[in-house]
Amino acid sequence: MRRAVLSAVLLLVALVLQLTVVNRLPLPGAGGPDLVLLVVVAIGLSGRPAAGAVTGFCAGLGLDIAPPGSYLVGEYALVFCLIGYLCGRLSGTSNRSALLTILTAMAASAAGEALFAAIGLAVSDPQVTWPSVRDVLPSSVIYDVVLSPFVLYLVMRAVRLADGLGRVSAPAGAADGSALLARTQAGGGLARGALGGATMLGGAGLLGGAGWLAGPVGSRGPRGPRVPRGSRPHTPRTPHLRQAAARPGDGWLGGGPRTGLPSAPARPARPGRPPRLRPGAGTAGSSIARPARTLPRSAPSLRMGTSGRRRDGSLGRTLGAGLGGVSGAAALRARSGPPGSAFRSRPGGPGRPAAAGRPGGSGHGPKFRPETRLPGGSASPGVLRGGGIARPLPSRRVSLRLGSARRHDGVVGGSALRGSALGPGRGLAARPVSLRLGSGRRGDGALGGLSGGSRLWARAGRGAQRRAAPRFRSGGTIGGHSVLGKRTPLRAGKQARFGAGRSSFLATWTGGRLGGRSTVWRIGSRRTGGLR
Amino acid sequence: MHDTRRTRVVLGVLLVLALVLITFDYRDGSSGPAHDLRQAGGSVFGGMERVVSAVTGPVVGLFRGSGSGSSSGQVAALQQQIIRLRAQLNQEQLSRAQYAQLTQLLQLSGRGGYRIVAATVIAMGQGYAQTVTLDAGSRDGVKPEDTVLDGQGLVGTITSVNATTCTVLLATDATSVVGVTLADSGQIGWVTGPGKTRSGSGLLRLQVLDAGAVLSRGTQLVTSASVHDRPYVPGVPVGVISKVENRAGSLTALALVRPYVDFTSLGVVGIVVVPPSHNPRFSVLPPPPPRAKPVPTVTITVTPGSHSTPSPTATP
Repeated sequence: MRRAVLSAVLLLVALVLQLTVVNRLPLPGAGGPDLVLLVVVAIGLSGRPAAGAVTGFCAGLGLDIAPPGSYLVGEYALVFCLIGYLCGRLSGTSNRSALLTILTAMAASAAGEALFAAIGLAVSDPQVTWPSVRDVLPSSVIYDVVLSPFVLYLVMRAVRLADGLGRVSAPAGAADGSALLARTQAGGGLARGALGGATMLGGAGLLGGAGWLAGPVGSRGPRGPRVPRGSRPHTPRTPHLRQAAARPGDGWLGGGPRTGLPSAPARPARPGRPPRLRPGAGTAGSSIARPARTLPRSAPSLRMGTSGRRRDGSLGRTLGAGLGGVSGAAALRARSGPPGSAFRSRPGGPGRPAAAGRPGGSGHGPKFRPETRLPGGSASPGVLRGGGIARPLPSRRVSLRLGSARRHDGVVGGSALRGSALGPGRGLAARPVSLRLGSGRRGDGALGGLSGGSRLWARAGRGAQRRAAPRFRSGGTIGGHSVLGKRTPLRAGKQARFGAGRSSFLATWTGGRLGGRSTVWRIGSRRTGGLR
Repeated sequence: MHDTRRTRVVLGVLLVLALVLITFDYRDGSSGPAHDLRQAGGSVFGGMERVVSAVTGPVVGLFRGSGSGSSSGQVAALQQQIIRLRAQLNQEQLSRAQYAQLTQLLQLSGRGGYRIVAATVIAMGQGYAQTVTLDAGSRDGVKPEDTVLDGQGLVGTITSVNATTCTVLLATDATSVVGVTLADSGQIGWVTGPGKTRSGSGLLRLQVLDAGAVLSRGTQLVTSASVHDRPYVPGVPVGVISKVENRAGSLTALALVRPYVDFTSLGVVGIVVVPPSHNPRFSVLPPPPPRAKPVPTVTITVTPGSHSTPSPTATP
C-alpha cells in the first residue's frame, strides 16, 4: 500500500514534469528523455512483476490521456505495462549486484523506447513514421540510458525511505519480541562478533519487521550486496539480513574443523573469510558449498534467514539453559550458542571434519527452517511459538539435516553425526532436534520438530544403524554404500551436483553467480531435491 | 522473482485492456470511451500542468532564453545575489519576450481581422507527437478546430478542448495538413508536417495541385479558405518556399517550406475564436525580404594582338 502510494506520487510527478518541463527544453537531438518510462523501470526493478505491470499500465494510461497526448489511447499503457512487467521479472535476477541492476534499467528503458516505436509503427500511428523514428529513437534512447541510473537511484531511495516509514510503524509487539530475542542472543554469549553477526542480529531484531521483511517485496534489493554489513539496519531490504544470516553459519560451519578453540563466544566472525565449505574442497562438508552466496536468493530462504537466526539463538540458548549445569559438553554448547557450535564443542570435533563440518551446513541461518509454511516470516507469532517448542526439550540430541526435505536426506547430517560424532552411546537423550537444510519441501518445520519429528527420528535412527557414510563429496573416493533411502541409493563416485531449484536464465548463463530467483540451492536434482 | 499465475493473469488483463483501448480509440477517435477517458484525463492533468507550468515556466525560459554566463564571484552572498538578480532579469526578459510576442500577435490579428484569445503554452507532447497544451479552454470560448497562430504566422489547430486547457496540433506534426494558397500565383495546394525531426527544424512539405505550376524560392504561403473557416481561417501566413523539388512524372509540384513560426520556442499564441468577416487574402503576410539587386559585372575582353590598355577597373 505504501509502495502503491509512493509509486503513484512518483509517476504523477514524473508525468507532469515530463510534459511541462522536459518536453519543452530545447534539447539537442530530435528525441528527449522519457521520465515516466524511467520511473516505471525503476519501480519495476524494485518490485514484483505484477506491481510493475500495474504501475506501467497506469503510468502509460496517464501519459496517453494527459492533455497534449495525441497517440491512440492505450499505446503507452501497453508498452509501459510490458516494460514494468519485464523489470519486475528481472528484478529477481538482477538483485545481486548494483551494476547489473543499472544495466538492466538501461536496457529496459531502451527497450521501452524501441517498443513504443515498434507498436506505433505496428498500429500505423500516423505520427510515428519511419523518418521520425530514425530521428527520434536514437537520441531518446541515449537520453534514457544516460538518465536511468540517476532515476533508478532516486526511486530506490524513495522506496527505501517509504519502506523505512513502514518499518517504523510496524507492530510493536513483534518488534519487541524479536528485538528481545536478538538481544538475548547477542548478549547471551553468542557473540558472533560485532561486525557480522550480533550487530546485524540486533539490527534485524530491533527492526522487528522480519515478517515484513520476509515478504517478497521487501526482500528484494538490487543494491543489497553493496550495502556494508552492520550499517543502516533500518533499511528494509533484506540483503543485510541475508549476508548476516550467512555469516554466523559460515563461522560455525568452518568452525568445525578448527574447534580446537572451544571458546566460541570469543571467536569473532571473521570478515572476508572464504566459505569453508566449497564444492571443490573435497571434504565431506564441502558439498554445502558456500551457502552464503546461494542461499539468500530465494524468499523462502530469506524468511528462513531471519527465522533461522532466531531459532539459532533460541536453540542454542535453550540448550545452554537446559544443560548448562548438567554436563561440560552442554556448557560448551551453551557458550557456543547456535546448535552447530554445540557440535563443534564436542570432543573429537576438530578431529572429525567430516562429522563436524557437514552438519555445520545447517548452521547457516537461512537453512534452519523451522516452519516454512508459516507465511509471515519469522516475526509471526507462529514461528516464535515454533521456536518455543524447541526450547523445553533440553535433552534432545541435535542432529543436523542437510539437503532438501526428502525423506532420507536428513540422515546425511543425522546419521553421519550419530555414527561418528554423536554416537548413540553418548547418552544424550530422547529425540533429536533435526535441523534441516534445504528447500521448503515436505520435511519443513522439522526444527520445530514435533510434527516431523517422529518420522524423521525413525528414519534417522534407522540410518544410524547403518554405516554413516558421508553422502556429499566432490570426489568419488567413498565407495558406494546405499546408505539411506530406498529410492535413491548413493551411487559410488557420483558427484554432488549443485543446482538451483528453479533457476533463471541469468543464473543459467552465469553458472549461478548471478541471477537466482531460484529457491534454496539444493544438492541433487531439481526434481527430487535430494542427493543422488 | 517468481512469476505466479496471478501475475500472469494481471499482465494479461492489462495487456488486453490496453489493446481494447487502442482499438476503441482507433475506431472512433472523437467519441466513445477512449474519448471520455481523454477528456477526464485532460481535466485532471490539465489543471496540474497549468499549476506546474506556472512554477516551472521561468526555469524553462532560463534554458531556452538568453544564455547565462558564468559568475566568477567567490563570495557566496554575492553569488546568491547574482543568481537572484539573474533570475529576476530572466523573468523580466521572459515577460518582455512575451509582451513582444503578444504585441506581434495583436498586430497580426488586427491586420487580419481575427478575434483571438491569447494563451500560453504550458506543456508539450511526448515522443513523436508535435502537440502542445495551452492554458485556455472552453471557458474562454475555445472550440475544437479553432486556428492557432502567433505573431509570425500559423501554429496549428485545436484538436481537443477541456474546461481550462486545450490541445493544439502543430503544423509540423506528421498528421497535420494545411490547405495553402501561394501568394504570387494564387495556386492552391497543401502543406504537411514532417513529424518530429532533428532539433525541431523540420521543413513543411508543400504539394501544389497543378503539376505544371512553377514554384520558386521565396514564395510565401497563406492558409486558404476552408468551409466554415475550420480548421484554418484564411489568410494566415504559413511559410516561405525554401527549396523546390521537381520530380519528373509527379502529379503534384513539390517544395519544402520553411515555416514562419519557430516551433521550438512557442510562447504566447492566439486562438482565433471569431474568424475574419472577409478573407484577408495576403494582407497579413510580412513584407517580403528585399531582394538583392543584381550587381552589374564588368567583362573585359582582351583581344590578342591589339594594343591593350589596362582596364580602369583592374586597378583597385
